[in-house]
Amino acid sequence: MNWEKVMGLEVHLQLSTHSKIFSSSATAFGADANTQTNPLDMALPGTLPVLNHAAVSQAIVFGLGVGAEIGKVSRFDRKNYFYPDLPKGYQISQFFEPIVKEGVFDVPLEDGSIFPVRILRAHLEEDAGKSVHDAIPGHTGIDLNRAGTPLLEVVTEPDFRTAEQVVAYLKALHALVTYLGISDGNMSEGSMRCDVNLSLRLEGETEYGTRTELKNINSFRFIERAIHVEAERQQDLLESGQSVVQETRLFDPDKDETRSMRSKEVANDYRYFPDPDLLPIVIDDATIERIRDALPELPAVKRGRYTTELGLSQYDANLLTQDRATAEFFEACCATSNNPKATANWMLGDLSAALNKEGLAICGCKVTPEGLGLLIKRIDDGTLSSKMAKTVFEGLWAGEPDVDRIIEDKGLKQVSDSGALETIVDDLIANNPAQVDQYRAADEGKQKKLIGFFVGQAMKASKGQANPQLLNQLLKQKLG
Amino acid sequence: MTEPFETISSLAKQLDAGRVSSRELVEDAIARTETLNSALNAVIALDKPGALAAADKADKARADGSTSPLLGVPMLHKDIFCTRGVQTSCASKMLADFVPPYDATVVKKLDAAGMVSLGKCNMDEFAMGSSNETSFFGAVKNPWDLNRVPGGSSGGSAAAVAAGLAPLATGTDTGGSIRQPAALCGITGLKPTYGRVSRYGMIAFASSMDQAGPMARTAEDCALVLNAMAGHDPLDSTCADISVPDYSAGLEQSIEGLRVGIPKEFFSSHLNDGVAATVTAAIKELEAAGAVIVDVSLPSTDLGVSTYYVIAPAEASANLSRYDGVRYGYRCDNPSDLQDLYLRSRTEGFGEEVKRRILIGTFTLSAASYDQYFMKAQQVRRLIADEYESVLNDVDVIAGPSAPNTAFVLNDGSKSITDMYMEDVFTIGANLAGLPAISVPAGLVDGLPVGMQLIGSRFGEAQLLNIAHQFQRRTDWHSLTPDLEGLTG
Amino acid sequence: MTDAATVRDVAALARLAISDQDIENATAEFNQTLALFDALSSADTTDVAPMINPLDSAQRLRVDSVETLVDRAGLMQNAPASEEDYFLVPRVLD
Repeated sequence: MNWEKVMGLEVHLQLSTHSKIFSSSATAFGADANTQTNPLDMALPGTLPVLNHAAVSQAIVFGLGVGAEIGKVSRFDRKNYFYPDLPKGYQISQFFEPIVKEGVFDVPLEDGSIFPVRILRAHLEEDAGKSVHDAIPGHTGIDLNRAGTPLLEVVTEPDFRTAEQVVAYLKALHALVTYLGISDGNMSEGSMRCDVNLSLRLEGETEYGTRTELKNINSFRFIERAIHVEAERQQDLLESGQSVVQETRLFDPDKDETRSMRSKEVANDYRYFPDPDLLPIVIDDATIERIRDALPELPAVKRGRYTTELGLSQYDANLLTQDRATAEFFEACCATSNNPKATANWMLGDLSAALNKEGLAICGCKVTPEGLGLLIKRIDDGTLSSKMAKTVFEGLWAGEPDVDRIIEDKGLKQVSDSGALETIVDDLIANNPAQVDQYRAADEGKQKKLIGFFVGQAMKASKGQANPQLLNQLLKQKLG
Repeated sequence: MTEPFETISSLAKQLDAGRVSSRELVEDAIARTETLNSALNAVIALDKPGALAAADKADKARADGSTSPLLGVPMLHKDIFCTRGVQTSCASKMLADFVPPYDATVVKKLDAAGMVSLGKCNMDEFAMGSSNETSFFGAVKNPWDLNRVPGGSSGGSAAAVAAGLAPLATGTDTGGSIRQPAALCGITGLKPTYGRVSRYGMIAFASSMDQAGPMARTAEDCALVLNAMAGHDPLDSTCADISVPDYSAGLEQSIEGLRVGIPKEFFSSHLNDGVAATVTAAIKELEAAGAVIVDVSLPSTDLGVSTYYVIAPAEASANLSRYDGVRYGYRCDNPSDLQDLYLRSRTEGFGEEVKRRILIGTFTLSAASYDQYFMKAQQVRRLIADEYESVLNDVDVIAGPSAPNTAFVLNDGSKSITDMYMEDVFTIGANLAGLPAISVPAGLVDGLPVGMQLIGSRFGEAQLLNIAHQFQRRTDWHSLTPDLEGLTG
Repeated sequence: MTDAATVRDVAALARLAISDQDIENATAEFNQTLALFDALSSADTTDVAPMINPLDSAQRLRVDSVETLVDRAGLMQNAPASEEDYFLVPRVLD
């Protein structure tokens, strides 16, 4: 029996606003407990929500980014439940009329192909505060700094069959929101949180099985593992004739298991109803068009341009567009190098290796895009051999800013002066008559091997700086 | 001792002329409150030092040339408005010790106009009630008859003004909570259009209907106060960004030719005969002033009660979830765990009527009942609002009784819960539709005051006040006062 | 008609306790109120849009700027239990 995983995702993105969704409190991460609060965030009596313009705009930007329909009239609803980090006893969310409706988001996969994910909806809502269990012995402490931070919850159809697809989607979503500048997508700070709805069914089956919801998986690293562990648990249940219970489960990376969230196990009825404190959000076409005109180039468009206009492979284009910083580095580098293919090769080769070795992201790169661009340009104009270029790259990485200066200081300049090379070649021919005779007597096939001797000697004489193409050309001419 | 039953406009003239100081008015008001309140229980917090300081400040401002019409006039706030540094309990054990760190916008605006707040008025707990018997601090007594209720939920405000403790008290009206107690205590009370006055800092009962308004002796005074209370507030999304006219400017206009609609459903079997006769006579008075009386129909009037008692408790059930014993408010002793903390804090902190409404509201919002009750009620609400709108396309205002009865006796065990809810039958429509409405004294039945209600078009407060003022120029029901001797004796 | 079990469930959702001696009375009151609501079914609401709020206008939006209206000390002055700038509740286990 082969089991197929069926997964749908709910991703909570923290939007990059200065203030909260319904109050003027700051949203910065890591402030002292309960300092980023106003009467509204504490749900003090008589306080009322007033919607943040930036949260609405960013939701529209996202909707346009995934090619979704924007709800011309959307509303906020109250989702009622008691929890100490939910100060009002209800969360303001969009249940009935979300601001972003259906769309399709193209996700590039490892193999260069495109996996279209159907977006069901994306809606605005407020985040809850934090329960702190280790600060005060015997108690749980409540910090409401995060309460009211604007979230966009992005819900997909159950289109995922493999963990790889899920990870690819999340990476592409991360790329999209950072491109759009609407979220920093920082998983470790909770700016991007992922819930996976997972069920199993036998291959070929069309009905869905009973699903569980894996909550708040906060790193790419854990997602594949969590999916694997939960799928195995469900498979064991199903194969032993038991059934899967529809519930929320938490992945514990330390124990490598998922477990039921007991505290939320109490059957709840959220009693959604339209929030009478907030009027409908009405968005006109002019607003949508104005926002559309101001959108940056999206990853999918960039990918297309990189392959068709710049001649890159789909694979390279996918890698270079996976986040905005990488794409911006690439484009800045190309502006200097004027050679997109070589730039792609350097970025995905030596630069990527150097970053990985030191565990750095592209934004922490020690080489400037202009520096790398000039390096590539110096290869193309014959100043550097590719071997010497690696030495220059090491110099750049070590913090030396100027490519030409490194070439100068280390004496790495390739000898491309035909006069200087001619002298070397003439000397060689004069000093090695036996080898010259042997070469001249040989057939074409043998000559190709024998010329290696002269190349090696000439390189030695030029201290490795002879331009190999030019040298070959001169030798053939003078020996022939 | 200054005269207790002065109007704001009269006090303003005396203050302007230097015949009296704000300090004298405030000291006298405090003294009167201290004398009468043990009988009335209308005031549940007096802020003497704050009031005296504000009075001195007002006197100084006047000496410096300021002439705001409200400057230095004493007043009281319903204890539903957050007052920075002063107890704000909503007459609930839940908030008995709550001291807000901020002012409600209404409080801020009246402070800015120079009014002097003496303290806070008793009310039905969380504004849920029509008799002021649900207060954690005990029932308020009607100054016209201490054995009777003052109405509710703004019963403390109505009783305080009626007994001359202050010429103004603020009230809030979700289903009649300004108009019904105003009627039962013989004063003038205005519920503005939903969105006319900011709700920020006003403790929420039913968010789509709550509205603050003035309770005073005359329509003229209500106009003066509304000028200061109304207007846009960036802290309330449902506060309309519509300019505030001078509500005093048009008071003297003739009402000749104005069309006044009388809905036949307002004179139904619910209505006490004496009240019916009194209100009919008052309508005749409008006719005598030149108004054209037109018979109209609001066929869904009775349905309004069912609609209101679905929607208001539903909204309240969510609005009152924040009272969980965590950040402020009542917290039970030694909670064993989180659920115990919630359960006991809420069960011990809320009174019976509040709990009853939370339960009903929770039920009508639950998945199994949502469509049958909550959604249905919101649809019927639109039908009712449409009926009002179509009648108001034909007439300028609607007139009728404010309440079906005069003040009833305290602790009347014969009244069932739903009988009590029927007290609001004539006032609820204006809340469901968001319309402005005013109650003016229209006469006495067996020595108890009766109110006539006028309902206007959205943001049509100026016209309501104009008609009410013209009525009060022709009648002196608003000048009648209860016998204070009986209160101190 | 609603039974006592339903009233108990609703009370649990609302975090309100109803004692055994009160449940009968509470259920009776509940049904009395629901009987009042039954009148609603007589209204024909086909194609009638619900009226969530009487204000017939769109949500006004706030400029995205940061402002602190009240400081932490003021906001927490009414806290029944707090320590180290946290509100305290009995320990919650996940």
